[in-house]
Formats: sequence, C-alpha cells, structure tokens
Amino acid sequence: MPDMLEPPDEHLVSLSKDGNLDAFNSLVDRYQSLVFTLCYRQLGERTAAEDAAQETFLSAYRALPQFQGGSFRSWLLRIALNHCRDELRRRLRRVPTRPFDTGRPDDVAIEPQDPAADPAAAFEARALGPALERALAGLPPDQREVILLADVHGLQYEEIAAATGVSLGTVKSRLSRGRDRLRRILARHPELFPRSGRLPDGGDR
Amino acid sequence: MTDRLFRRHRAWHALITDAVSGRADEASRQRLDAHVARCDACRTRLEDERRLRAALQSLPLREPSRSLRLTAAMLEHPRAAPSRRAAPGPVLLLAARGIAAAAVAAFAVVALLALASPADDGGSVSLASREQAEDTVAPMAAPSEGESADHAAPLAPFAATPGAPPGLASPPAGGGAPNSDRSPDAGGPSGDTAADHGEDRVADGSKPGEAAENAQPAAARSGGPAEGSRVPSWLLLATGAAAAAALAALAGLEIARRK
Repeated sequence: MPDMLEPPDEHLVSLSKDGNLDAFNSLVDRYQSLVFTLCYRQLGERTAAEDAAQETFLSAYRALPQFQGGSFRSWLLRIALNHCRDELRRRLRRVPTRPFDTGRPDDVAIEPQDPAADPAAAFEARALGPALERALAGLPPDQREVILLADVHGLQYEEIAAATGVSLGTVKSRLSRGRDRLRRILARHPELFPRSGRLPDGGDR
Repeated sequence: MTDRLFRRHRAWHALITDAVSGRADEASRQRLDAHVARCDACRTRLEDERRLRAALQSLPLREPSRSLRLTAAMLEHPRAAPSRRAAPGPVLLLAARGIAAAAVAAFAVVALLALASPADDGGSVSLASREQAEDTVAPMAAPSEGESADHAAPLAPFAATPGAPPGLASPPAGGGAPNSDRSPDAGGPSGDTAADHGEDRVADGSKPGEAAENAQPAAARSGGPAEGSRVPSWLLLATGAAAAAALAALAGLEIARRK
C-alpha cells in the first residue's frame, strides 16, 4: 500500500509495469469485486467465478507490457470476459452440469443478495434484485455479457465492442435484444413495470 | 400492415436503445420525444428500458470469499493451474483409449473362445458319458452291484471318507425296500465324489469312472466343462481384469480431464 490518496489507475499501472507487485495488488483491491461480480454473473457459480477472477488478475499482470493505455478497468473486464468464455466453452465440452440458457429461473443458483450496498438507488432493486439476477442468468451468454457491461457496469459501446471483440452494430443489437428479453422475463414484476403485466410491444415471439 | 408497423417500430426501437444508453444525439432525442408523445407502444418501451437500466445499475457488487491479490509464489509457478488442467493431453488420452479398446477386444476374443471351446468339450464329454451310459444300460441292475463294489475299493484311497462309498453302495446289494428312497441319495454323493476324484480318469476314458458316470451323468457333465476350460479360465480372468483395469484408468483420465 504505497499511499492512501487513491492514486489513479495510470500511476499504479506504470508502477506495476516496472514489476511493483504491491502497486498491482492495489489495483487488485480496487477491482476484485468488479471482476468477480462480472465472472459470477457470467458463470453463475462462485468457485468458478473466483478462479476466473484470480486468473484474470494473473494474466493481466503478465500482459501488462502489452497494455497500451486507455481504461485499465475495461481492459481488465475484457480479460475477465475472455476467461469466462474459456470456462463456458470448457463446460460445453463436458457433460452439461448446469442448464445455463434455460429460461427457468429456479435452475440458477444465485444467492439472495444482501440488501445494503447503495441504499438510495437500491430501494427499488432490493425486492427486485434476486429476480433480476435470475433474469440475467436466463439470457444467452453473448447477450448477457453486453447487458452486464453496458447497463450494469456502464461501459460505452466502443469499450464493449473492444472487450467482446464484436462490431458496434452487434453490440447494439445484442443490447437491444437482451433488454427485450429481460423485459419479457420480468414482465410480471410490478415493482419494475408498474402499469401493466403485459407488454404492448414486447410480446412478439 | 402489422409487418410494416412492426418494421417502422424497429427503427424506433434502435433509437430507444441508444437513448436509454445515453448515446442518442440531441436531434434524435427530440425526434424520439415527438414520437413517443403519439405512440403508446414506444413510450412504454422507452419507460421500461429506462427502469430496467436503472435497476441493473443499482445491482450491488459481490465480494469474492478470498482476496485475489497476487503473491510472488503465484508468479513463480507460471500457468500452474492451466497446465494442470491441460495435463492429460490428447496423445495420452488417445493412447489410453487405444489400450482400453485393445484390452476389451482381447477379453472379448478370449471370452468367445472360452464360450466356444467348452461347448465342444462338453459335447464330447457328454457324448462319452452317454456312450458309457449306453454301455451300462443293459447290465444295469445285477453287475452294477459288483462293479460298484469293485470300484468302491479303488476309489476309497482317493476319497476323504473311505467308508462312505462302499457303505452307500452296499445297501442296494443287501436289498430293496427300506433303501429305495435312499438310492438317489446314494447315487448322488458317490457320483459327486467320483466326479471329483475321478475327473482325470473320466477324461482318460478308464473304467473306474463308469459307475459314477452311470449313476450321475449330470455331475460328470458339469465336471466336463470345468476341465475343458481349465486353461482358458485363468486367461479369461486375466484378460477380464486387464480390460477392467484399462477401462478404469481411462475413466479416471476422462474425469481428470473434465475436472
């Protein structure tokens, strides 16, 4: 811990590039929840998510010489997504242990969240949180990763395109379809959609 | 009609997605505002997407159960975890599959041979015993007493209970009524002991087996295959064990690969 003034990422990154492991571990402290949360939502399983997050930091440290600048955060998320994709691909090769793309929410073990994080904004989401997590788990992985990056973590289209390796147009269409699907899954949640149990234009398909 | 309407709305949907993401420019936003003032469906969609995004943004972060800080040890053992995962390589796996297949095939061949050869042996043995049976069918009653008495003596040294065969064999000679229900029993044990101890002699085709064969052809037949498959039986067991071991090793490898 070099100092307590929350040095900017760039500074810690350049220290880490010189082999300063403490500086890099400050970055780990800063981003481990973010990386772990992304992995957890992508993989749906705590142990696998911790492994993927640990490997993310390990390979990020090794790949630091190739880091060209820009947002360290989205660079990290991109590495994390790659590890998640590897893990999902590995699972596809195995006997399916967990039905991942089923729309049935009860299949996915998302723990009940602890309702404390951001009291003001989380008021509405508190009741909704578990339902939202289950709905996210019901998305196809490619739509889910775009939703997570764009809507949950607030990345810009360009950053998402770089992180996922697809075009801007694909990012937009996946985001649009992902949101559509979430609305359909959550259609019966009056906390989120108070007016109607039915979606006037979302019910196609 | 609905198709055209739907397609026209698809254009608005893209704009709604952009607007909710904060990526619509000023002119597009004004166009969208004007549109949703007239279009209930698009207004609902816009509001829904905004609410959804707000809810997603307020989802809390989760904490890993351990610190993910890197240690010098992690860096010193490069790729420890990934290489361990990739350890059972494709070559090893192919080799294991080949060995397992070969072991199973060998077992199958031996098992087929073992199934086939006792059938032949059994056939010949049962034929032989049938011939022997036919030989003795005619002189069934009277000579059998003498013969059994004769043969009981040579059998006696081999038997663990020397007294039993003569003892059991003599009552028929002594006469009928009380022992009529015992005679099947008498035939049974003596036949068994004859089959047990006289196996080699049955194969030799020597005479002492005759009495036993006559009394209990089934016992002789059941002894026949055992003798016929005596040599393959350990081979059968060995190849079976080898096949099982190879399959178990392959299963272990596959499981390790999937872990």
